[in-house]
Amino acid sequence: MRAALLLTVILVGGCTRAPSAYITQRRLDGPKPPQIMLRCRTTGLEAPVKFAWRFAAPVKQVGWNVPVDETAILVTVPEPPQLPLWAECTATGAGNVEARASRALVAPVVAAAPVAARSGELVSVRGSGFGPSRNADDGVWLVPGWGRARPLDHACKGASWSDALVSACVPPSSGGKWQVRVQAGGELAIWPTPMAVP
Amino acid sequence: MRAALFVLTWAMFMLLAPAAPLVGVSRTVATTARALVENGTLDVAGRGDAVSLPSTVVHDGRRRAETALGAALLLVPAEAMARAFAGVDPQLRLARALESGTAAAVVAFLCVLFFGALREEGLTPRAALEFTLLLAFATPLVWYARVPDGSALAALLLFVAVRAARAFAAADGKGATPTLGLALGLSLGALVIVQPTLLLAALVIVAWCGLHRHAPIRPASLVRVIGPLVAGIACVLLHRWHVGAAAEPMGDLVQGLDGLLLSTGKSIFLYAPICLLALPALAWMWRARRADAQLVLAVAAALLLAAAQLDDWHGDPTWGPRRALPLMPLAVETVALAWLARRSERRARRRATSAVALLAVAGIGVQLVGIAIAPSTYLDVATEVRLASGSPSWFGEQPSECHFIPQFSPIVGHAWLLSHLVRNDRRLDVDPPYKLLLASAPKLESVWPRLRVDWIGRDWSRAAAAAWLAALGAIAVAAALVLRRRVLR
Repeated sequence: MRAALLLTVILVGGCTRAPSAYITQRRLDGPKPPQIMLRCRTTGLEAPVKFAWRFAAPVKQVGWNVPVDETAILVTVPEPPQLPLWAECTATGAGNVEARASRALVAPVVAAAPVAARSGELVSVRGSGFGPSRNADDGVWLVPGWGRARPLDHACKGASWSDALVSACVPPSSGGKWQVRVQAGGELAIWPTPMAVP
Repeated sequence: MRAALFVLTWAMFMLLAPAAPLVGVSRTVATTARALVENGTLDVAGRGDAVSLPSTVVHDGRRRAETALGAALLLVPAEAMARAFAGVDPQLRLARALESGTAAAVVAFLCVLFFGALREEGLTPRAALEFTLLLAFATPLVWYARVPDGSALAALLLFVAVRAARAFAAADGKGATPTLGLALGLSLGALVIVQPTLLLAALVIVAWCGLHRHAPIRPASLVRVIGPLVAGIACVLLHRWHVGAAAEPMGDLVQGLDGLLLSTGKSIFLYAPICLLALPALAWMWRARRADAQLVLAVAAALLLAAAQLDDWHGDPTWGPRRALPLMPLAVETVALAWLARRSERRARRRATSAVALLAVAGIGVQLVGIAIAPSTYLDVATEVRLASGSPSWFGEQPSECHFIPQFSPIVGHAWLLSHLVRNDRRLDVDPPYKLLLASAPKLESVWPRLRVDWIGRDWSRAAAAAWLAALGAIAVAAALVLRRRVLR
């Protein structure tokens, strides 16, 4: 009986995934201005899934009278890039269950990060290409030369995320020298000057 | 004799070492090895991005390779040595030579094992040597003996595993059985670490052993085979969990199979023409040595299916079917055994020898144009032609689609570029292989300055290049003389 219950829990738990989405991008090699094929990948949504896309102003869809509710969409971005450049996809499955994802269409770059901070302090990292909102894997990381990296706390009071500015709190008892890295949309931006936490 | 063969093949591979910087997976492998040596971590952040370091993933604030662990570990000694000499080698020429030297040593070792295997099967030293040189220089192995991306290592380990499996299955349960079982298990475990997509092939080999072993399988033997394999799988899973790797993106299986078998851009039969003879050789083997034929067929099917279903079935930028490379030793061995079986019929043997010689010459020709020019050069040409065609999005999202367009075949394209290079003829718009596809061929003026022979000594001073050639040439000639004396004895 217990085994049957356990098996049921494993099977049901294993097959029911929280709805989530993420965007993949593939830059087409060659066209000027640059073209990017975006795909909204979802998990945990029941068919039929409908997609809605939103873009930053400089991002334009390629073609005329092209469907805008499909999983893949071809867009063009200006060259040189006019920031911000991001895309957001909202996938709606059966029962109006929604999953949303966003990502910047340029690689993230850190322009400024603090050189010192205390544990628990709210710090800000400036730059570009962080994306309009924070996805599940996005975050600011404190990376040591050797050992485990530690994420900043993005749930603390005052924490925020935007394409050009991320604010989050230094985790407690994280003394030492750390390299500040911003992970956004599966890409990494590094601030070369280490941050000291007493 | 085997030492002389190792030295000969290694020296010849080193003579052909490339100058072009590593690209694709080989760059990821070398960068990971360098990170391990310099920082003691797998983190390659700051050394490249997703484009320059393919098969890497960003997780927990670090960028790490997803699959290149085994190949990177093999390169660690070379990178450590390169780091030790970094002060006297600021241009990293020694580092490049050491990286190529590692790949060359792997393929040279494979050649020695292959030669030994053919001798065990009853081939004369001369025939075994000829088939070994055919494997080394008439298949894309020669290209992968210059580039340390782990493909040659996977080919070596798969060949060792297949040989060990045959010996293990034939063993009587006493004597050398424990060693054979352990050799089989270790080669399978290492194979999975070096190339995780070969897991299916590894499992097929274990299943074949279970079906064909004459003596009963004892628990101890089973542990010796399964233990290292399970350890290898655990190592891969742990590594993938550690780096946060997702499942490899899947593509279209039929496209992958078409690409690896029939396409003009990646077919194993075009890049290694000797594989054409593997088909009739397998038919002979099916009649004469059915169990061995089943093993080769099952391993080939497992490898091709696992590779073909990947989005990255082509493994670009590279020369030929990188993911099917481990099949080359098995295919050439099958051909050699079928050739040996015809020794009693004079006419049949003469026909078979002629066919092998003809395909060997064709294979050497294909590899010659492959190693002469860096593969990324021609892929860049294909991109420029696409952009000049007026429809820049044509196979823009899937650059691999150009492998299905005969006029863009890299073999033809490399031969065309090489002919211009040899004649010093800059007019690339006069006779391009893709002329049929375009109303007017682009001039490709930006390609000419980048078009150079991909040889390590090209950027060196004349004296250094001559010394390199002379030293390696002398080693190769000395080894060849030793081999000749032994073979003719």
